Amino acid sequence: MNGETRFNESFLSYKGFKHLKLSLLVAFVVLVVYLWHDPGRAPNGGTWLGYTLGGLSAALIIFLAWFGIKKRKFGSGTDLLRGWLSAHVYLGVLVVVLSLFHSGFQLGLNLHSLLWTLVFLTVLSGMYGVFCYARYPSILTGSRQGLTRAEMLMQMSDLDMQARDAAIGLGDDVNRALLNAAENTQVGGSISKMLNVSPADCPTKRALDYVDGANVSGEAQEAALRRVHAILIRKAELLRRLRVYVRAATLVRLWLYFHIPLSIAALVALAAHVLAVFFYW
Amino acid sequence: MSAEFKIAIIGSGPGGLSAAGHAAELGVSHVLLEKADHLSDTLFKFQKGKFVMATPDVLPLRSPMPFSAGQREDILGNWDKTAEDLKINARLNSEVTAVEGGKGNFSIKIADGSVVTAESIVLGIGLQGNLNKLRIPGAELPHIQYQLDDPDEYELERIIVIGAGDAAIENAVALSAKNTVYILNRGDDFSRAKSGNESAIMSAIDSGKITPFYRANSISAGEKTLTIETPDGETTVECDRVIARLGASPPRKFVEACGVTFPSEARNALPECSAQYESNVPGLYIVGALGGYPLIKQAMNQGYEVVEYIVGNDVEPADAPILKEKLKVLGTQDVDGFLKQVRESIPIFNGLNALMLREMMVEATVHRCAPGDVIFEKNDYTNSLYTIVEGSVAILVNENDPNQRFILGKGDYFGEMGLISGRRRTATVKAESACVLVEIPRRTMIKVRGNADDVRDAMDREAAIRQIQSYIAPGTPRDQLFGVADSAEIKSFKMGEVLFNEGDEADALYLVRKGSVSVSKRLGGKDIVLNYAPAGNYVGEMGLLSNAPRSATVTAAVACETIRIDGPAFKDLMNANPKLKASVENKFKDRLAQNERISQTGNSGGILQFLLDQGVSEGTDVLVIDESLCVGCDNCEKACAATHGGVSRLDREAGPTYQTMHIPTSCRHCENPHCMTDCPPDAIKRSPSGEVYIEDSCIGCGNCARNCPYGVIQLASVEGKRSSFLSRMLSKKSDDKTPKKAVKCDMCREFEGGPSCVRACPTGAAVRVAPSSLLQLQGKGS
Repeated sequence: MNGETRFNESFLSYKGFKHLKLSLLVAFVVLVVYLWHDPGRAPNGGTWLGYTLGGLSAALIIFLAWFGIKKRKFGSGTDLLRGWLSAHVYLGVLVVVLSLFHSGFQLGLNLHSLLWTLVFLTVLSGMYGVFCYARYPSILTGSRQGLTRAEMLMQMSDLDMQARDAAIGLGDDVNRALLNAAENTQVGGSISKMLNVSPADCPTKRALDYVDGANVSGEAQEAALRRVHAILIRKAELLRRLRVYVRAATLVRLWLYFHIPLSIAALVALAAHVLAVFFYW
Repeated sequence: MSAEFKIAIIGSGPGGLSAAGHAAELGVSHVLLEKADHLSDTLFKFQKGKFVMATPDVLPLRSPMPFSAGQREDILGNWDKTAEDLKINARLNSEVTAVEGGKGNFSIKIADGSVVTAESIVLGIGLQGNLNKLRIPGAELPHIQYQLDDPDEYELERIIVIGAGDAAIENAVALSAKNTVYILNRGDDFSRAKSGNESAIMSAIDSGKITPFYRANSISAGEKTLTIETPDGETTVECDRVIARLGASPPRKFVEACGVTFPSEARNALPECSAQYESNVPGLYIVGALGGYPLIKQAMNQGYEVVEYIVGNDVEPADAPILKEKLKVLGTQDVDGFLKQVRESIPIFNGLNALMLREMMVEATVHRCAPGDVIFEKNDYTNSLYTIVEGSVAILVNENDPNQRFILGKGDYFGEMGLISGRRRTATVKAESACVLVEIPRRTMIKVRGNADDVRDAMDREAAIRQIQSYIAPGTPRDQLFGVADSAEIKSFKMGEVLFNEGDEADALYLVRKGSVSVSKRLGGKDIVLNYAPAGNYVGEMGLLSNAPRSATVTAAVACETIRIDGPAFKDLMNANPKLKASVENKFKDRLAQNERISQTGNSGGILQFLLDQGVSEGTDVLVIDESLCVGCDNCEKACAATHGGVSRLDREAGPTYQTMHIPTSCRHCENPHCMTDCPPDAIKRSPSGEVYIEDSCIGCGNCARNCPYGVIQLASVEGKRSSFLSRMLSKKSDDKTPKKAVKCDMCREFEGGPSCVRACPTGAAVRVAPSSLLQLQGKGS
């Protein structure tokens, strides 16, 4: 096994960009054949080349969709999923090209063009996914700083406790703000909250602002307030990092909520397209 | 007047019960006398739910009473039922107060005044009926107890446990879940206990669950208090309960009153008996713990055998059939003859006594090989030791040239390098002529080495010669190495211990034979790791060759064993052997260049340090995640769970990270697995290709999980085969709990494609690599 997997080899560069090369080669061959081929009328899906390209595209679409199942089939075979993803990405882009040649660039307001549009959007969302896979891992790692999410939450609740211990001698208003910060600070929730790194109404931020502006008299009280302030700043920083993490973790999979429904719609449209073509033979 | 019974059995523990069962089975008239109102009081008083072991595993049970490892409740239930089925004539509540008379007509006085007469007596009263008690003022107070049945009975109490043995630790740890627990230890540590218990109590102390008093003694007890003397003075601790687990000693007074003599005055001395378990009083037999056999299975076998002896039958030892089975390949049944041959023909076993040799043979395998048979292949991970009883074998030193080989003959042994270092086999071994070999498994050999110094010393000297020959001076004739070997010394180092410091005088060369070491240098006020040397490499040649002080500090990266070779002796060897000198000088130059590169670039030193700090160097295969690629989809964990009964053996998120290199919590398949150190059923195995895995015979004791420094073993109820989605939706969730067992990564050894985690990673972030290649990759610098 060790010989097969290499450290630092991404799905994009899998086996020396094998699938990229394959896709480019196929695209090039198809382009040459397309230019060479003279159907005698406008190129379209009904010529022998059209049928060939249509069949190939349909087969590829089914292969691409199979990835969703392959990803969940554990323990069988000897292949690596990274290889499958590599093929999924490069052959996915190829499908857009092939199906465009298949149509002879005849796009209009009809079922067939709807299929192409759905495939195109699916691939587009997938390309955005590839972008996410390149961009977010370093943010995910950088924000956690070696801690797990659970550990970050635990540290925060520890800090809440420390802050309230330190605030015992301070006024009710400070303690109310701290209690509110401890009990009502929220990470995540709705999509918009998951994507928002610094929500305006964050109770921890409000507590920090409040403590920052609070006035107390006496040396002991001032010292206590400074301690509380320091603790809250640590918590706010931890909170910010956790929110950055949550945002990145959300974005790194949010695109799938478009990619997968689109791909299913494309599969349905593909079935309709094939049926229609053969029905109106 | 003739006696009422042929046999009277006193005590219904494993030995007595087994004897009574066998007597009942044979239809021999008997009576079983038990002090308590139930059978088998010692086991009855075990902690509730305690898992009872059935060691030694290979010893067959020879008793009409059923017994296998299991929970206290199940074992007791089975015994009660069988006692009833066999119609054992048991008299409960019958404490024996005196034994009079002699063989043929003993009269046994019972506490209620009645008398029982019998021709023979089997004494199986064990030791637990005579618990050692506190001898302090106030010891009779009601809050002081000497046993604990059910730790769940107590809640929110302050409890002091006295003792540092297994029983004390088991009680303290169980009680600490719901109570405030102190443990009173007369010594400084808990090394007397089983290592699983030792690590359990240490982790409970470290996490603050149990408060220890070391070098402390109890002085007196008051109403809900205990006064303790500690090195810091006297202190009185308030407590709701004191549980003193002080061990037990033979009920000497009673036994002596029966006429039995003890060989010494020591509190724990045991009476001496014949091979047929008969004491110095004819007709009075002693079985079980009182006779020196504390294990349940041994006592039960004795119970059976003693009845056979009394009725006049001669029975052979219980392990004889096993040994005969092993000798089948040789076409002989003569166990004693073969054992004699082994001892006489193999010098390292000369120092073993008959019992040790026999116990070792029960675990060993006898092989008969034809010329040319492969015994093991180079790079296998097997770690047993082979001894040659007859014939000869060839060690193929060079895989490309079958003519380069050593021949070993009768009396020699081989395979000890893998046994010592935990690394792959360094050479292939084939049978040279027809031969008879005895293969001894790793665990047995470690036990034998631990118990017999002669065996260990003889092996170590021979191993030193061979290791020097294969790792430092290949091709050097054996006799040239004697001088070096005689000056050599085996030195062990704990993790983090320094072999030598930068600037020290260079007086020796160290050959690492187990574990690994790191080489570091102080640069700009910081220790920079320059290199690492795993087992099979040597360090310290730089100072020796350049006649200069040590140029770097060498530290044990993990616990390791080295062969320290005296500097002058090594120089003599080099001078006599130009080829060797050239090879050592080449190594010297390579290292010089590498050290210079790293100390000038400096950047890869950090990651090397990180990897060594994480103990990666003692692994053989480690899961690494490239965080610049990981999208956190957890498909690795899902794949692991799906292929392993629903429980993932890896935790992706947990574990240390350095730059973009993340080492998730997952097994690294160590060279010398910590988990294997104390596995009662010996269920943890290493396959020839290196995976460390746990067999189904796991009893769920949790020792391995406690012993693993990397936290990669968990106890979990594992479902059988994963059912299909549809059947899971349609069937009701079953409530029956499968018992918890230890689970860990097995590298998907049953799947053709290798580790599922790696295969299921969509982005290429997860890889499994041999640490040596990872470390060398980093060490080369980029």
